[in-house]
Amino acid sequence: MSNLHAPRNLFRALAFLACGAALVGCGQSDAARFRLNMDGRDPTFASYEVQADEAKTSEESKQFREDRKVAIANEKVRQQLVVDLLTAGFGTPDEPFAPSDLGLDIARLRRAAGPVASYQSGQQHGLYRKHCAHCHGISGDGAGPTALFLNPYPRDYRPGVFKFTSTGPGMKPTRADLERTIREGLAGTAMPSFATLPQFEVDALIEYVIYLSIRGETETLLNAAFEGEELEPIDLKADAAKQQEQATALAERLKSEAADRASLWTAAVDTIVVPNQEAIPPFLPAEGTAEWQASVERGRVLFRDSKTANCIKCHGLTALGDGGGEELFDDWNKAKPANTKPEIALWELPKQELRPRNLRLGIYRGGRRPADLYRRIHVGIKGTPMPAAGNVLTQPGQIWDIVNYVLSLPYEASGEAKPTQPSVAQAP
Amino acid sequence: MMTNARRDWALTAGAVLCMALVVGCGRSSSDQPLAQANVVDAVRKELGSSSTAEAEAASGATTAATPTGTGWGSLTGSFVFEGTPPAPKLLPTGGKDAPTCNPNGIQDESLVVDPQSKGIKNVLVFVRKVSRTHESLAQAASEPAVFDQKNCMFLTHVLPVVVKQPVVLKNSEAGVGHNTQISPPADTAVNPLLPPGGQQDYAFGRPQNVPVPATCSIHPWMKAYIIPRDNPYFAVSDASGKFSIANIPDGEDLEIQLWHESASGARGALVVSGLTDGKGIIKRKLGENEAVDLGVIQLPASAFK
Repeated sequence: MSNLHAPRNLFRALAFLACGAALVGCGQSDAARFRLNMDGRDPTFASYEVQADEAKTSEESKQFREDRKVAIANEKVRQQLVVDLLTAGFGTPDEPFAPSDLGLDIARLRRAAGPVASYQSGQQHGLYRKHCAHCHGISGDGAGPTALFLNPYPRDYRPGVFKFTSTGPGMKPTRADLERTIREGLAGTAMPSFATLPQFEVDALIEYVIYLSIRGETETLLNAAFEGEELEPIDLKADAAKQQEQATALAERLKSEAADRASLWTAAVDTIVVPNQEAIPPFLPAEGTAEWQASVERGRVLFRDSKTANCIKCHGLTALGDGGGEELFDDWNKAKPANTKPEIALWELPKQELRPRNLRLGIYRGGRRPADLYRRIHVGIKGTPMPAAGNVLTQPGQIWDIVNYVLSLPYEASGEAKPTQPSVAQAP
Repeated sequence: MMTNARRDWALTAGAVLCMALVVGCGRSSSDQPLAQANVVDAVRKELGSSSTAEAEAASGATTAATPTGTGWGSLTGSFVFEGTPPAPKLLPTGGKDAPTCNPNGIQDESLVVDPQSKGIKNVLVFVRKVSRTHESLAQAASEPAVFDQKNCMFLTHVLPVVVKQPVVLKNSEAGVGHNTQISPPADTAVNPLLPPGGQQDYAFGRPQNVPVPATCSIHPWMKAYIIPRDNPYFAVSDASGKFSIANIPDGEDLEIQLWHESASGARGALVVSGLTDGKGIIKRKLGENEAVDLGVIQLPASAFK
């Protein structure tokens, strides 16, 4: 009897023993890592692998396959160089670093980075992971675990484009812009308000967002710079002097790319759009009914005029956001293939459509102050189809009149939404 | 009380379960390389230092001087569709802004093939890197390039320019407003509203290797491409598929990139068997004052999406 059971008993004993030993080292997760921009996300970088798979079945020439082999090998070298350079220049999610000439405050970065921790003194660390990372991702790629379930998706900081800014076309936001987004949240989106955080914690998060953005952009630039170059891996077996020489050359490239990106953040402050001060109309009927009414009427005309503001083309004659009818996408989604194509599998988040805002809801993502709406119209919404009209609406008061019309829309009874004037949409 | 057989069962199942647990342990979700600590240290040591003169000298030393000639060659050729080209398509407008935007549809320019010669229009050819530039080309690079639109179409479908060259974004319609959205990676993005007769100046700040789309939010079928380059050696094939680039430096290793909007290669790389590599690049060195004619380049349907 016992002979019969011996092998099974032995198996069990061994299995338990092995498991026990193996589990001792288990449960301790790896330190958090930044994910490469091209890591399984961006098909421009994944394409070599995909094409190599395809090449096996297609009738491509031997030369092609050879080329691809070289390209893939080069790609691996590039990935290694990029990871090494970025780690040197920006550290890791647990231990951030920033070269001194980027103007980033390392103490603030340390407070925001790392695992969540609080101390008896009441000090909090790991603020980014506590408040932001589940949506915006450890790397600031806007693809945290929650992202898939949100519309719109959380901001991907890596392209360095932010929608709601007070600055000129194509410019970065100011720190004050990011602060307002963090403090007040974005109405109508999943971005909540963090108004209860103390100032120094908000400052730490602003710093960290800028840091992730500069880091992400630098990675894109390094990839572009390395593209098409026959890259040489750093020879770990070479003598220290040779290694240092290679490192010096690479550090110089990293420095110039990162400094270039960082300078845009400092330059942004000089491009703040100051709303026109000369022709400010009353924003409330109580401040002067007749003038307010006249301003709203002028705004209505501009809103519908295809020769100037032309807002109706997307927002619609009734401003319900139904003017276009076509599918629109922001720049983050524009890059992706259609959800029906197999390549979309390379992207973590499916392509998401963007709707022109329904202006009758009274929800304004970029802020509801007249000055906020003024800037949305003047510089547009960055990275989206909403264009900048500041170059067209140059008469004093024109933008304010549109602001007044837009602000009046939620209070207009729906019966009044009927076209009261000949539609400019039918003009030749 | 548990029978022996049952207990055996439970124990074996337990052991198997335990092993399954271990299998899932320690798995890494990413196959990206880990940073090499000594390289990171070596690079970081450089980042802290403020004296750049030394570093510049070192980086200069690693870049070997490109051997080059003194003369100027040229490159010509033509792209021709092999077999029966696809029938021209119309993009629906939904009657928007008719009759300026043709309500029957706007011609799809994603692959334009001349029915007679079968020449392929809008193939972009550019030299990726050169060590010197012919003086006759400097003037052209400072003249404004006009990027216009009429009848709800961009008048230039593929426009190569030089970095910092003034680009005039223009709307020549009589009664229809447009906007032109250009979002070049890592460069200043613009999206000005362009009323009828309106225009706006723009300039790219950095070169790109892939053309940047220019689109109109109001008329989503409108899509064209602009590519800023750091050298003026580029051409776009005409209606008969012909292109030519003159005054190219000879005696140096050139990488000539072929690109087409609908090419099946990665990021629009036009891959030609026996001529280019897998990234649509022709590697070539021009002999002294050599005029290279690539002749008729036949492109099968499989070269396009």
